[in-house]
Amino acid sequence: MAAPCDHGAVAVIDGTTLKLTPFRTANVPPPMALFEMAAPSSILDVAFSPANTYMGLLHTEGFSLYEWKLNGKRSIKPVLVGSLEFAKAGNVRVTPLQIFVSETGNVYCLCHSQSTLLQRYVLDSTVGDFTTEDGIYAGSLSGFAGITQASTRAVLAFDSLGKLHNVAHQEDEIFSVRLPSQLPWTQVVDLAGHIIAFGLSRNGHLYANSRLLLKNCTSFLITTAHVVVTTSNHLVKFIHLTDTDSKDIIATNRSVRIKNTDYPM
Amino acid sequence: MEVPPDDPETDERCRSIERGARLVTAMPTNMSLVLQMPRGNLETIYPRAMVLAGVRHLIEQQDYAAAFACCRTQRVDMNILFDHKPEQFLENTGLFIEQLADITYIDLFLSSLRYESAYTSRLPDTKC
Repeated sequence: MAAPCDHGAVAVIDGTTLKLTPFRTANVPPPMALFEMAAPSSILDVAFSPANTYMGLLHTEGFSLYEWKLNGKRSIKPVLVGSLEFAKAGNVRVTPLQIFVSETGNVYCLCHSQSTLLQRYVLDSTVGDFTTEDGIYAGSLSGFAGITQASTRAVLAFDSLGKLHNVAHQEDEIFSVRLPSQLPWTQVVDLAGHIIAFGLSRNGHLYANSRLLLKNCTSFLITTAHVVVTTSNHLVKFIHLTDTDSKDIIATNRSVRIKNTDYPM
Repeated sequence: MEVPPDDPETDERCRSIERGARLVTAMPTNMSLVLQMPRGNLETIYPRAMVLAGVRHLIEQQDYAAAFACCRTQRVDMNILFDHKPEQFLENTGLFIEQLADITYIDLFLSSLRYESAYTSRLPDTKC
């Protein structure tokens, strides 16, 4: 998260309850939480928008969008902006998988219904309603990527080969930046035009684009100045985020976009 | 992007933690890092690298009061208040004194001043 919107918000899913704690406001230890939100059915995924303005909650029957509220510097309980039920929106037999929320409040949902689809829901903030747009085929996409840029308009997702896609509009733009393969934990940073995708594999290898940064990583976080990493030999390391430096970073950072227009289903 | 070596004794970009601890969240504004221990409890630490980055950021914003308070609580060498941006400090000495307000704070700052730059003596040049 980037300052000043680094509220340190952590959301924990507990069945139909979401336990939310903004650590900058209050350091509440688990199993307690500062705020608890109930969903109509079992929660599958939670997503924060890049500048933490909105929070999206995906459950088996639909999704809810909350607006993050501040009282000065303290975070207060998020307010429900709108919600949608898949059955009422016309998608009866859909299995929701993941959710992403953009800074404008638009919700992107990766779901499966006959095939894998990326569905975009546009928010009408005056009414609190969503307009369902045509889904695009997303058979190769494995999941959304977190973005560390608060001002971004991109909606990024990785596919099963590790390639990065921007699916903000009804098109699928592929970046030249990629990770070596599909990785479970990913985060993308935009450093003055240079896109760097960080990914952690299950066996502890941390990659920055195609470059292997370190081999014994157990978790990582990106801040504005550093990549914070914990290693399996009990150390926390701070890798300074730099624009250029090594030759391989320069070589992989020219993001040439290849536009693919997918046929709407 | 250089990965710091495993040297927590001398390198500030590296710090020892309990075995099995994982990252939960980082808050650059608070200069803190929250970790989850293997037993499930949370711990908040204020790593040197983040504190220094935070103090530098506050100096660049000319918020000398907050930078001074942070140097005092986190025991950072106060020479950084001058050494990070020497020309800016000399141009804004009045602002510095106004923001610090308390005479004891100014005394504390003056008594910690050294001739050599903090970047060459106390704070290593790790560009955090």
